[in-house]
Amino acid sequence: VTPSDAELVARVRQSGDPNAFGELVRRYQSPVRGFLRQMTRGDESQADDLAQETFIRAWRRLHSFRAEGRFSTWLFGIATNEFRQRLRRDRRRLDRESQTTDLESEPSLAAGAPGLRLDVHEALMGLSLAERAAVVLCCQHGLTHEEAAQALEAPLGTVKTNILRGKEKLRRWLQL
Amino acid sequence: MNEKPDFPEARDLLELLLADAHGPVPDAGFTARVIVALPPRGTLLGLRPVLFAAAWLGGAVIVALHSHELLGVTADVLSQAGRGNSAMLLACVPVAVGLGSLVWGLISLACEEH
Repeated sequence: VTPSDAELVARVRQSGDPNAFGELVRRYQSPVRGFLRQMTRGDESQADDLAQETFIRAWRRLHSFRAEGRFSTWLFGIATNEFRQRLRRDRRRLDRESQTTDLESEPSLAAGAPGLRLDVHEALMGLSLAERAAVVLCCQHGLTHEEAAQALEAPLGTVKTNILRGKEKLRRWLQL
Repeated sequence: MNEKPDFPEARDLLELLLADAHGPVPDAGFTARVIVALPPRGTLLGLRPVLFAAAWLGGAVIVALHSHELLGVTADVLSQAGRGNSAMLLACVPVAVGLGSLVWGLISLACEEH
């Protein structure tokens, strides 16, 4: 019988069982690394570095996990915080993000270019960080709006707005 | 304004594209690297806030009980320092170290909690 997330968490809390935690890492490494790859604009090395920090922090803070929520939502929250901290530390990267967070500011990718169809990945990279995080969490990782708001530490209304705006932009850029 | 109407078909297609663009990330040794990098889960780590609070309370009680003597010593130290008595200044080093440890403990606790 496959143990549930709650059972694995309980085993780690009780006896510090690294194998139980390893099973949790195996289960969630793909969504966490996938999310962070989207947030770092496909920088796999940086995303994996952040993902590793995310799981280490989860290991340290497992006592603060509340079982009423999903373990994945809690993990995405830690991953988002790790990403934010990395952005703050790397001011140059932040500047680069702020310069290119909106595709409409780039003439080559503006809606006027006839026949241009963007790849989904490219289009996602064009969203603002807040829009991208909300769209990726809800549309790719299956979080509810409430769970995304919890993970992103943002008001529910803001998350809904970011998803709506993000999807509108994606439809326009992908010519759907 | 969006030029295209918000057809359900378009919404479905977008969600399909988004879901399709998100493939599983192969583990490729990631889990093993995380497990190797995990710090030991010391039992004292979880008790740190309790130990810290108890030590702080203990210190506060001692200071409250001996406040008059401590004020006298401080006054002596300041007056001796004015005369260039380095021995008295050296006696303050443990106090400074203690205060430094207290500040460091508070900062590290705050960082850990975040």
